[in-house]
Amino acid sequence: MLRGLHSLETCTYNGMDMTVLERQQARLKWQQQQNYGVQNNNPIELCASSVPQIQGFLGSSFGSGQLVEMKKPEVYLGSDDFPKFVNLSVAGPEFSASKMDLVPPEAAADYCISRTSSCQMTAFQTAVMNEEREDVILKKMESTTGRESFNKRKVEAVQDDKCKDKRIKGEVEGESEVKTKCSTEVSRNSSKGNSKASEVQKPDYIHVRARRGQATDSHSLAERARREKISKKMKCLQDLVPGCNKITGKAGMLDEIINYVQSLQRQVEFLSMKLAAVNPSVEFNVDNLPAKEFPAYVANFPAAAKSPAMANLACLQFNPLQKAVSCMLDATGHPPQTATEGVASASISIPEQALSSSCITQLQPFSTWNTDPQGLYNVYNMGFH
Amino acid sequence: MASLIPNLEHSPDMSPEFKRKKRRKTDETPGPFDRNQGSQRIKRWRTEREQQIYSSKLIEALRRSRRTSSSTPAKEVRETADRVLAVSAKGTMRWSRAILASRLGVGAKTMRKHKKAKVTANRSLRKPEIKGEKRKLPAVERKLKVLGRLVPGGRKLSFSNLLEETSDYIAALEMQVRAMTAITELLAGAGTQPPTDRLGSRINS
Repeated sequence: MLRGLHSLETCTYNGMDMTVLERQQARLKWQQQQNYGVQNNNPIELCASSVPQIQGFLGSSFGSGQLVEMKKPEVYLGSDDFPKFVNLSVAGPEFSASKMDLVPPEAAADYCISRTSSCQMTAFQTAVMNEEREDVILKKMESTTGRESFNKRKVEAVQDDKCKDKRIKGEVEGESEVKTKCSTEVSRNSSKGNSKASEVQKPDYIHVRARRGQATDSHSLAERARREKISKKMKCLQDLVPGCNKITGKAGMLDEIINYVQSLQRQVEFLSMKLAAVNPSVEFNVDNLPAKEFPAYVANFPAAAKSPAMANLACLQFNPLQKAVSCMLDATGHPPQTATEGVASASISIPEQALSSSCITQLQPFSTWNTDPQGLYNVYNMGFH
Repeated sequence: MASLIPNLEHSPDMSPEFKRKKRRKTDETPGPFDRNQGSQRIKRWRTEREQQIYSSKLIEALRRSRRTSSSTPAKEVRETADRVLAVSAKGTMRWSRAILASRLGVGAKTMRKHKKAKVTANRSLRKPEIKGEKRKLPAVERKLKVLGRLVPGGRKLSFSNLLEETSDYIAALEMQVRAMTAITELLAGAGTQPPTDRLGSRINS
């Protein structure tokens, strides 16, 4: 058993120079994890608290053989012996913070690790922990890059990541900075209520975490944070713009976005013209407006009907929207004819059949029409490409 | 302990000319909440309620503006629709503020001012061009400029802010198209039926 525990030295914190102050801070914060009730942490707490308490606890659950080892200050909580502890549902809230001080400094370093080394957790627990971490990070850190790094980090290999923190900034700016940084990382796992008090004093820095094997100077970290922010926003845009799933790369995406915005603005333009044409009819009173009264407006159209879009309004007044779109598509191919055609037909009021037959024959493949903007956008694409 | 002083907004410290050239950045404070708030804001444009609010406001504005018709009706309807859309955005986004500002004519004046004050670069400092070859910005930056011109108020924005504005603007435009389509169908369909104060009755139903 002893050997097993000593072999857990792999969990020692490599190269982390935390002062005693930081470690105590870490311990304190970490103490608060108990509120999570994650099973795995409880054995960690057991070691963290004073020895007699541990003894008392373990006596009830473990065999006495294990008790001896737990008492040792150099208990390294690593992956190997966790299976024994995992199913333990030990309640730890009665451990008070003061008991933490009894733990020797060396072990404290491990606590920082072990809280992140969710070693033998079940997959579900790991996911929950990760999500909780992410939520907490989101609330506390300015940059959300930490989330990605958590997602990608292997559960076991945690130690190296800690080394590559953005500590350069902290070292330069003094110990208090490092302290707040460390407490930020530690408080990630603590419940939200406890850590709020400490957050207020923190200055607004972008907390970034470097992944394993990546450059750690402040420039590359800042750049990486910026790039990730941008890629996140691009993904959000990808959901908005239809037909962007296959496109990779910023330039192509931007092309699609530009096209889509232009088509939406064109649609608004088109609809506003239609609305303007329909609008005056609202002002007219009471009685039904027969189609013959419309030529009064339609007569004005030839003056303004130089653009094909305007001409389409004539057809639009009499056609339902589906046919209207088909007319518009048709008109883009043959502007002048449709203009006169549209006006003439409107005034004569033989509108629908004549127009729609010519339009529909061209557009027979499109049996279903939807009026939502994305559907119209696809129609635009077909017409314009 | 100077390092502890929060480094929030450095732009107010900068001199005015420098400020003009530099790409504006939005506040850093919404940082971690940005993702949640941004997606919530965008989802808001998809709700039925928002569309109804917009539709009713638009119809009211159209009724009012019909009495004072300045330019061509189509253009006026378009401007009214955009203005009501900006009002619906409640000024949270930059594009909405830009639309409302341009309506007042303030934007036009400041734009003219900027054009006059434009300083051409010192030609000697430019990299020497190969004869006949045009100096082109990288593809992405060119497209960014185009997008900035499309989105109202997007000329001076940085890449990430512009993307954010664009996503919100696209969501708003989609809602606008849906609402206007519904309204035109409503009015066009009502034109063939006996109207008894069509607008009032339909909207309130």
